[in-house]
Amino acid sequence: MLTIQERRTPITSCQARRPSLADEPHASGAGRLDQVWVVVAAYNEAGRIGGVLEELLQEVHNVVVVDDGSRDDTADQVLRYPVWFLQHACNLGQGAALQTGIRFALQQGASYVATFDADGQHTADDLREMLAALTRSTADFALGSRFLGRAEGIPLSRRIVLKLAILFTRLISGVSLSDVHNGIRVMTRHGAQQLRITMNRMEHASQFVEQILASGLSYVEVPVTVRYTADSLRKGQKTSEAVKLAAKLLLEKLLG
Amino acid sequence: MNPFQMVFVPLCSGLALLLLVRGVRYRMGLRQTLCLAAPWALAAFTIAFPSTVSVVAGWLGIGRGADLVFYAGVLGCLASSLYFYQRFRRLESLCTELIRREAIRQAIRGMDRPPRFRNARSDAGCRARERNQGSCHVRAVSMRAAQVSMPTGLACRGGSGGSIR
Repeated sequence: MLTIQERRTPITSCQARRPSLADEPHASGAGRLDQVWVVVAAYNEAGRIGGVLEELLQEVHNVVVVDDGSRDDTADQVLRYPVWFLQHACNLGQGAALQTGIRFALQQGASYVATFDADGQHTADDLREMLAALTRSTADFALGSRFLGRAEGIPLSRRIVLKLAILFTRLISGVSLSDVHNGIRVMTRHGAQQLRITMNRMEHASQFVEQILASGLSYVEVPVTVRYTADSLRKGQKTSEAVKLAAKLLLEKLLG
Repeated sequence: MNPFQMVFVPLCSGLALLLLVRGVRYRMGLRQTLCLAAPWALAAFTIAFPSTVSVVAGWLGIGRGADLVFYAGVLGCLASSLYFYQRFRRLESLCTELIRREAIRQAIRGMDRPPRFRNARSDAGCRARERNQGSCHVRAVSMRAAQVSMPTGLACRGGSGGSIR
């Protein structure tokens, strides 16, 4: 049974069967979702971005890749695919890149905007489930949760840090989520328009949750699969950076 | 007056006066001018009359004048750190906005054919040129992007036209 946790507009469960392409109101003739714009923030991802885009393009029609000032040939790799490509002149951080992509997608008239990590940790299949959850409920945000779903190959240290991040967010924001720093999210146009991510780096994930709460919009948590590989762990956030991230969030909270 | 006072009282007074004159000359505003000049004037005064600091410390219930100076210094450092952090955040958000607008203005569309259908020879050529000239894909597409006006005109790389949706 697929379980979805929703706040404000509670629903306890969804249909267990996976929605078929024919049922999907946002699918184009080829079966790809054409109202969803997927934003991928990429920084030095030349080795992995191709695989991610190939997987994404099986599911969605509109993909926006924001190259956050990469120093490798990420740009060349991305431009081989039929996706929109935006490039930051210098490295600003994932939060800034996502906000750039979201703004661009909204300018192009996106009905739904999704965020997706460039390191191959997510599965594009989950986007379909998340969109289905969003359309079935009245929520504006569908947030992926690896702890409701599956976290394949997650190291113990990473699990502890993520759990601490959940606790920290609960303490400073009062929001109770099962997974805060998950890069896969789907939002309605209305929801995306309310977002103003000002924290450029990894703190954006907590700010994202805070803004959902502040805007009074509803959200659902959807189980997703996150795959950890040696490569993604090497590139991902270091455990030591979590302390710096928490300090920055507190300072930002203090200064308003 | 001891040698320390002989050096630092004129130095601090001079700096305070200089900042005051600059503030008036460049019309910096009363608050900013005072914020810049007052600490130096206060430093000159306390060096010249050290006993007054002890008197003020006594009024405030702090034992020694040196403690008062230390506390004031710590609080001053904290306040200035917060002030400059805010300035930094504002500057950072301005830079981010500038870079974001530029990125959106120069948005381009990748190729409409997946790599497996493309001519491997042209790829190899591009890589060779890349070694000498930098990223040729990006350069070529950027030139196309520059030819169209924004925000609605976005260049499209590949053969299927420039339609966005």
